[in-house]
Amino acid sequence: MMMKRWSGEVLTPPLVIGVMLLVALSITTGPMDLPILPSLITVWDGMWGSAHSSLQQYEQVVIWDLRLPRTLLALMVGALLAQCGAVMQGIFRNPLADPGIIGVASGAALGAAIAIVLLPVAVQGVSVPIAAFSGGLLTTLVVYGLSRSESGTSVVVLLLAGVAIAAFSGAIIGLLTYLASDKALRDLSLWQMGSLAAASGKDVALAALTLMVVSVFFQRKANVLNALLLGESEARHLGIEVEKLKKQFIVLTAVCVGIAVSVSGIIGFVGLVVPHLVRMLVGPDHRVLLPLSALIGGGLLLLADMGARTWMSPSEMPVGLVTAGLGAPFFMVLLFQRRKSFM
Amino acid sequence: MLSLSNLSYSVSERQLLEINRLATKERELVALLGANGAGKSTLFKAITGEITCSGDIKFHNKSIQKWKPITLAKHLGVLPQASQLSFPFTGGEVVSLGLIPLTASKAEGRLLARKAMEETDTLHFFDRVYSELSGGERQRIHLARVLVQLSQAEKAPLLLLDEPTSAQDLGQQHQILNLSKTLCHERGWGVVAIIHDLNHALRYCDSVWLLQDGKVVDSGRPSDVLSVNQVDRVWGYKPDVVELDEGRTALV
Repeated sequence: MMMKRWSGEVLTPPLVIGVMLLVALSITTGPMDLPILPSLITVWDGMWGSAHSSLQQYEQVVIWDLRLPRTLLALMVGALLAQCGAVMQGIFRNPLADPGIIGVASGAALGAAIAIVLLPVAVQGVSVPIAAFSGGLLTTLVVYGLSRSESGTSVVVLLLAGVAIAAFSGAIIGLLTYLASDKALRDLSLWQMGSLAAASGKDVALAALTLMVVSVFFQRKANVLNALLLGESEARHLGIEVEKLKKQFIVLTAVCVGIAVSVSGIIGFVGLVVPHLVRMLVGPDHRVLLPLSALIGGGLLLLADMGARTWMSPSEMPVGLVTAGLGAPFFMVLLFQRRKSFM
Repeated sequence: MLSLSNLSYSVSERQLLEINRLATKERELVALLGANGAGKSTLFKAITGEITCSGDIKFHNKSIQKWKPITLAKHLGVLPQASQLSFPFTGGEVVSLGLIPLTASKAEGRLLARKAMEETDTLHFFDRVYSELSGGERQRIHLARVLVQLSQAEKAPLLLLDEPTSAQDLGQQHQILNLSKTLCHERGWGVVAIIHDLNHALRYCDSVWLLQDGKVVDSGRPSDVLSVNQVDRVWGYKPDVVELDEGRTALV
């Protein structure tokens, strides 16, 4: 079969425009009916300190304190998760790796849950992200250790490790639920379903900082992932210091997942679906795959979140349910297509 | 260009490699021969540093551990026996992975890849999906990748081929061996190839390293090393010798 590829240069401009349109759409839609143009002008005003918007003060608050943080957080979390998925698939040499499926997100959620229930509320701003990161890192190391073999990583072990870890953290989180106070209980269930509803400026800043740092690192080391797809020996023959770089990648993906989980809970399947879609368009070269995954991941999560908050308006559902509802069938199709190679 | 001395490697008290002295020079095509489990692949792993063994390996008169990984990659290439890729690469993309240690613009890279693919008779696989190619075709793609990797070497590069002919049809076997010969004799490269067909060694190679139980049983010119008795001792099979033109012989 001949393969037709799109080049990154051709795809990027329309995708950037598309994401910008989605952002505008997201800011102007919601349960409170606000006119489109003045809503956008409100954002403009805030950025440049002008006062052109015709919206009332309380309406401007809706834009600035609710819609904008949520929109930006969806973009960043989507970009983080999609890049993490692509990187994990590269390190594991397995296109089915995803932070949710292999249990890293569960591990991170367990860390976050412990911090929410057992640590003092006053330090939660710091303790939740750190606990989520530690849980994610620990799980990645366990899963990687279990599934690693000469010819890459075993899919079966990978998925079973994910099941085991999800079950284990589910049990502990259940126990924590039993012990938790009412406030902690609400936070916990939000975490498990994955939601962007509680987006704050602080969350956006944390996610933006993480996204910037990891994207730069991933982009600079994209060729390492390309070499690793050939196998660890081959990567070494190509002059890659495999052990050192693999550790850096594992730690950074755990940071990404930890931060994403601590601001938005478990949002599944973005990391699986997006890199797959992008590979179909541009091929597996990580130099193009990673930035486009970030862009498309951000756009898709934003779209999913808009669906989640408008579908049953004025009440809304957690965006994690939307991504799981769409992503899980996609995953099943992938499994079905590739089932021969698992036997 | 490559010299090994007092090389020793053992796993749980089993001696897998024990080599007092071996060396190869530029313009030399060496056949690495031996029965299964003789330590041929282990020797490759020792040279590339994949396993750490005691002893000394010098590449261009410099201990191989002292080479910067990226510089070493430009001078030492390995063709693996088989390679699995679970991602939808095209032939051209796999070959372009050989550019990773190099500094080349996009256009230069494309040119290098195309040239290497021409040499390995794989250019028509440029846009084909790698996973749909046959074992032999994939191996030639990887050979092209390694040729790209070594294309900017400042000193004579060394190419290690792990069974480059075993997955190939008759015509391709000879094409690959001819290419190896050209690389050595015309471009001054060094090539060490693990092969199983003794007649290939007799016909194409300048010298032979014969391994048994991790030790060098003999080394030297192919026709000197591969005597009937020696073949019998190593492989347990007594071949017939057929005289060919120009004083060459073949083992049947």
